Amino acid sequence: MIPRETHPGVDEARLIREVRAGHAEAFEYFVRQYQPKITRVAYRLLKDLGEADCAAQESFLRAWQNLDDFREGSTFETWLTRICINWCKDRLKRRRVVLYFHQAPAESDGETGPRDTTPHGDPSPERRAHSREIRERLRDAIETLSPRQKTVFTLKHFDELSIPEIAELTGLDSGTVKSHLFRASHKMRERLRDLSRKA
Amino acid sequence: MTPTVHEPNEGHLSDDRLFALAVPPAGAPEPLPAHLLECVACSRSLAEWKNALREIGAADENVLARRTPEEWSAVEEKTLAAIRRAGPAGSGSSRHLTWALATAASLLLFAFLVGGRDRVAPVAFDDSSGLSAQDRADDALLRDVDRLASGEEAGSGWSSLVPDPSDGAADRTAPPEEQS
Repeated sequence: MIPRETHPGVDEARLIREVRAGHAEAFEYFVRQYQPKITRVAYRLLKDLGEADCAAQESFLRAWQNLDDFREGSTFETWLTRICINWCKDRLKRRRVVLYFHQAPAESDGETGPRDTTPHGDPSPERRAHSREIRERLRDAIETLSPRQKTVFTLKHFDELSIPEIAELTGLDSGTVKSHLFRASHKMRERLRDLSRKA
Repeated sequence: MTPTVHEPNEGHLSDDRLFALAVPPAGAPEPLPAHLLECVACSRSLAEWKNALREIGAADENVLARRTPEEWSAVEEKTLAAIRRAGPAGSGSSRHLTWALATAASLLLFAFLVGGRDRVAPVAFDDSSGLSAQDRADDALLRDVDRLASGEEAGSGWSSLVPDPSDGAADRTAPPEEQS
């Protein structure tokens, strides 16, 4: 989940004004404060740590270069996150072009995933295998979504953001967000139904 | 799917139905089917689907949680170095303006060139009228014949009818007494 921390001691609007006035060193606060969060957002969408780092760095760079476009009414974090999401969507679109040639690096659960925490006591080997299979199928189904559907789905179900928050971050209206969410779920369900028949 | 859970023909919930219950399409929970109240296997499967979704999210967190503060600091330094290299803040806006102006100028130039070509093209078409060189020569001949028939004495129109003295035609028109 994207943490929504407040920093009562720091006036970010004043820092932005300082940066605009030529005090470039004031921008360091934003990098130190938001780099991990932005990287996390990017990683959720891209599933590749190297690309997520690249996305975060590019997002800060774009924010720096387009600081004149930042409106003081919104928060820097929201603006930066929107830049990052747009960057990731572009990357996902390009990745789809070469989908037949490169599969996204799948991480083996034994190395990187959390321990199986099936909710009914100590799981049997069969239940663990079943849980692992569900996770893999869910991941596969998520990878079939379009970049925009994936973005909305990820922000809703993994970052646990509300519809208005997603709308703000993606620049879409709430109705469009709901529509993408519905289509994403429908598409995944269709895919899982197909697998269920094959099983 | 592992066969120990259930079979579709036993009236249990299918995987896609369980998924829809675990991940509501509109983001709001759907009413649970009555079958879940009496079927332990399906209620357990639903819990597994929900758990799988949480675990996928947690797996992402775990990847980033393994990074040490020193590693984060190094990544942040790289970002700051890239920003220092990028020049003053807000430079992207002026760069975009430059690009926009250059693009607009290119489009204007292109439109001017294309428009100019369109204006010239019909004239060229009318001039040639799509006729071959032979057709144009025939037209010139017919115009000369027309002038002759109407009694004009225009010198420029004779070229197609009057033999050129240099091509030996004058020899064929020599007086008969000289030949004898």
